[in-house]
Amino acid sequence: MAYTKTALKEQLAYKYELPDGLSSEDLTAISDEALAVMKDDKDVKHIVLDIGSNTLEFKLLRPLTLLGTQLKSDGKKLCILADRRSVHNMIMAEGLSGVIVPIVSLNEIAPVQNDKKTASKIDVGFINPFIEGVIHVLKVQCNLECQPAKPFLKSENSDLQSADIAGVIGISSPHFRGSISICFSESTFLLLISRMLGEEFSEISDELEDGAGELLNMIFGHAKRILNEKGYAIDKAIPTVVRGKGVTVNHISEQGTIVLPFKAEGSGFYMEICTEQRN
Amino acid sequence: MFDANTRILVVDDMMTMRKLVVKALREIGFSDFIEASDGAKAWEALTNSEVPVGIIISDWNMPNSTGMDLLRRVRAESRYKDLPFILVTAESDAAQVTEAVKAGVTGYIVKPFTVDTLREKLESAHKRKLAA
Repeated sequence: MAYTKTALKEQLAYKYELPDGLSSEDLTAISDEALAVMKDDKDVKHIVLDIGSNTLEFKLLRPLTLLGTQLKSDGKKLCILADRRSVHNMIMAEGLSGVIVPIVSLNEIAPVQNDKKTASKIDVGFINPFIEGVIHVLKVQCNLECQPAKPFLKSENSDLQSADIAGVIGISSPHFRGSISICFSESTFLLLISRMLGEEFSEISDELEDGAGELLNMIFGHAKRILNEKGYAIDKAIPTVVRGKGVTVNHISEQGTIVLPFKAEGSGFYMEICTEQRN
Repeated sequence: MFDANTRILVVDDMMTMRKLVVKALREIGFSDFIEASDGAKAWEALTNSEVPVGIIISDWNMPNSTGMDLLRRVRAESRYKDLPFILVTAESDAAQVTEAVKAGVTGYIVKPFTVDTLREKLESAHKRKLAA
């Protein structure tokens, strides 16, 4: 049985391109090789098994689970790079996505949560579900197309649009905790809420303000579903709303706050994500 | 489909979500609504309603008394055992769906949702009621 092994320095990973028709014995042999590699190279955080557009036979789930469990116990991660949605669905349906993480792109590889160096970078695999969530929620619930701009790390010099209302939600998992906010100017919030409820509003009344929390709740729910399928184990949370001229949300973390800017029909708003590992 | 005069109890701690659900229900053709902001107030509204409530549409995740608390309380009463009960939630993991099905939920809507999705869920709930 022939396979190709590639070191992916950026992702701290080794990728194995697997041929079609792999037997359980072949996979066990690759597992042994991968575990030996991990032992020799302590910096490696992920093993990626690339099956491309091939299918994954059910009988291979057992050796995969054994490998994934072994890696997880060492603080590493096993990912299956698969084009077919059916492969992802099978892993999730069997409840194995915590030990075998299905991905469609190497960009999805999340840094290991106990690594402070990698967790402080902008983690595409973690923030993408939130970006997708904003786009999806605004399209379905407000009938608005919105465009994301490039995410950046918040600093004292960040040029953030003044906000009048913000939804804030705590994010918590066994590995990390933090907070997420979505901040709107009055005009942007009124645009969204008018579209959502199908009537024009000219000011943010007490009745309307919880809409900021509800929009964030939907976005959080969308992202949480995707991230938990990758093994993040994020808990439930209830949003709150803060309101006032020039409101800012101070997220407390040594690892910084990621800002995700968006535009919808010319109006800007932004989301902030801040997490830190649990000790 | 349910009769357009059916009284619907809409439960959510977020005023905007109650408005959103009521707006969608109006578009579908319903016109008789009562609202509550948590499970405990919904129980009060349900048991005190002069016109019998024909459908409950409740948020899951609410402070104090949740949608699941309300569902369990409703199903514990024999007079409400077939009352259509639809849960609305922003989360939809398998364990949560299983919990709701075990407790006797009629339907399940994941936010964000369209009017068509709500209509489909109500049609499905109506078929289940007829089959009960």
